[in-house]
Amino acid sequence: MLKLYNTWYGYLLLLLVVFSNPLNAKETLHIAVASNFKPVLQTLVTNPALKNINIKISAASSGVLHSQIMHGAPYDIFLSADAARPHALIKDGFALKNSLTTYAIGLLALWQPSNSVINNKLAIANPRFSPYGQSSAHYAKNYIKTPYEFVYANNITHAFQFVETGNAAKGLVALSTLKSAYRKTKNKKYLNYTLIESEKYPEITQQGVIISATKHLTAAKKFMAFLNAPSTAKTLLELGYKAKESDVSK
Amino acid sequence: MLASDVTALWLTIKLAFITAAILLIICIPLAWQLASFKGKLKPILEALIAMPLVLPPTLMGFYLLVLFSPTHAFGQFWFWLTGTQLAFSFQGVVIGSLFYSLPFVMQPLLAGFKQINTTYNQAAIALGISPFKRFMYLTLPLLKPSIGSAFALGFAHTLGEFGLVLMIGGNIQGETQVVSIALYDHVESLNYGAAHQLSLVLLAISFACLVLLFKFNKTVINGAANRA
Amino acid sequence: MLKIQCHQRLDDFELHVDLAINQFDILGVFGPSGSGKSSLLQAIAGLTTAQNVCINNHNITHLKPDKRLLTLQLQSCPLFPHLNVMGNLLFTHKHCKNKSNNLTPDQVIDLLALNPLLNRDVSGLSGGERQRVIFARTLLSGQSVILLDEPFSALDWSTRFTMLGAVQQLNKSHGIKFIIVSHSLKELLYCSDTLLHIAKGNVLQCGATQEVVQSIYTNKSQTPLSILSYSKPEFNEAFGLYQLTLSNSQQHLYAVPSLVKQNHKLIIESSQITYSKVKPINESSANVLIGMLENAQQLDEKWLLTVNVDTQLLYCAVSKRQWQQSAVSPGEQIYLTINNLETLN
Repeated sequence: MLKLYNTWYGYLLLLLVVFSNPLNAKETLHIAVASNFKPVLQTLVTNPALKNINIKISAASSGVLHSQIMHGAPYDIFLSADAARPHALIKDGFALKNSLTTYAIGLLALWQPSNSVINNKLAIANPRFSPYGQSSAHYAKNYIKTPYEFVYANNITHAFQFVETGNAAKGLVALSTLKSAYRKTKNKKYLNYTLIESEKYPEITQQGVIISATKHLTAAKKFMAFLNAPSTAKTLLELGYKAKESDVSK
Repeated sequence: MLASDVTALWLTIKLAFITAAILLIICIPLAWQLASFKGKLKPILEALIAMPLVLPPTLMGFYLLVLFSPTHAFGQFWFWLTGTQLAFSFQGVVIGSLFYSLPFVMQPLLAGFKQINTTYNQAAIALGISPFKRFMYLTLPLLKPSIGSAFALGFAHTLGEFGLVLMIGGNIQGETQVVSIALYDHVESLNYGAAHQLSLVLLAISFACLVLLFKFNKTVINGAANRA
Repeated sequence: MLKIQCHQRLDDFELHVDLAINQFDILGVFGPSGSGKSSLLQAIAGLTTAQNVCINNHNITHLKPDKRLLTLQLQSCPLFPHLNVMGNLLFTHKHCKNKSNNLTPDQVIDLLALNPLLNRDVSGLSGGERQRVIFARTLLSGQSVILLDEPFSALDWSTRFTMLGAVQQLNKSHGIKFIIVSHSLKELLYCSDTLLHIAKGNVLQCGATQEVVQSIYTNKSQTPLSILSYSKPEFNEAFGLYQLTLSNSQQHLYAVPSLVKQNHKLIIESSQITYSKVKPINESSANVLIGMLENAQQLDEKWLLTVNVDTQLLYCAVSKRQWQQSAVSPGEQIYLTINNLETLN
């Protein structure tokens, strides 16, 4: 037995072991996701329906991911925070046209954790490049009557941090962040928010695509189907997002 | 170039200059004391001063965000003192930059003081020259190259500050939107043309600063070689 | 006028000094490297603490270095690079307080021939030039007690003797007391009147230079250096040499100008002296002196002869063979040939 490694028989066994892996291995899927959706995605991939797929997640801002994909990053699926970038990728041939889907709709909430902080700073994501920011700015300009001063965060989660630390009295943040914070800490301050009615701001359509260069098309299609399933829609609602066709409920 | 970019450039230069100047005022006496300090705590003090070298700027920014908060003691104290808030303000960014660039100003000063102390200062003590005269007529003149290096390094380093300002600045034009943030904005919004333009200008300014810095360093190195 | 008690822990040993010296003009401190000489000077100057230091009956034990009315030139005493030579000289002259030796910059510049160097950058000076400027700067601190730690070690012997001569002259003209540390006995023999011998942190001996030197040589089984005092140096242009006269016996010697210094002393190594019972007739041996053999002592494999010339003692060493074959006895007249005075050594 000890001398097996030294014989040609031993080498044969070694080769078999090495090459047998792909035969019964799980398929790997590499998903690029906009940072605001990452926590939700991490919950979704634990679903038993996906147990045969090994999922790797890379999160960053939609802009960064878009750039990376244009330069050949080996992602299989791109879940953006907007609609523009997936469209751009399809137009430039980097994504599969018929894989385009709206996987979630972002929900805005006006959050003022306490009444004791006295300043008129309203934290929002930067409207120049964040879809949440654009919607926040639209809502604030048209519907907020009390005087305020914008403070721009580099993404919707950063806007949440400005309000969380007390540096901004209030902010327009993603509902999912509030729900996630409350789940973790059970602190009531995360419940002092007003959900903004969807008519009052441009819809935050978060769309996803399958990347053309993917080597795991089957698994990718399976995943996208899962994303659009009714059971997933239910999970999205719980976690602070809305699925394409469902109603808003608190 | 966009007007907002010109504002960002001017703001950045202002920030770098003020930060380097304040750091010089703080660090010269500090370096003087630390250079001649022989206690057991010396390595700990030196490590503390060097911390901003290894800490991620975003981490420093995050903790400053917490520190500046009006719900915490320091934020409240500042409000009581000045009636303003530190986050999203130029003053807040200056304070953040002081931490960020501290080691870059301290190191040349420390090195300068150490060299002066061990060679020239000792000789002057033995010759019977009083501490005040030694500081005024020996230490300060000999420290000039180190002061120059320290200022140039602090200035150049602050020019490139990003992560920290990103965390606490709030991206307000004319107040906290420095060039690195403006650049980031351009790139994020796919405005590559403006990004290239702004980058080139910043590159040119930074390069000019570094050329000046090495001109100073040359004097320091030559001077040191001659003294040896 | 100098009292010091000092117990310090140094790297390898303890400095343990308890001294009282009543009177000196130039005090030499001699010892091997690392014997504590520099540490002693630093204790006197106040860079380190001593238990008790008194100079001229002033207790300066608890005074800072700049208040002690003395000055110390450290072994490593660099010129300040941000000033030129003149700037360095004026630095001590301007910034040292409580001056007492009223030396002016002009006087010092003339004494040490620094005129051509005044506007030079300190980085461009040669080693010898640098040490002269450093010494001048120390003098201009204006103190009456000046401590020097190996001040002339980088100089060639001719320049060194010039500097040591200047030290003696300053002592005579301005009353400045010097304490000089050196590991060269030749140097200290040349200029000091009192000698302190220190080794491994302890004072071995302290007293008149001649006596201390004698016992050092005896203990080390070495042939001593000889000091010959002369007078009336006259320059002979034809030969380019000085004619020196030994005052008591009116004997003459010829020497190259570089050996002729202001203090009218020659230091002669024992290897330069040969002797014979009969007067040498050889013309090239012009430097022949007559003296009387006082003493012959055996040291290991050689014999040390002490010869009285002109009431001064000269020492030469010979091998056992030479001694036995020369057949000279103490009390007899003897001829000494001094070599290498007319050629530069």
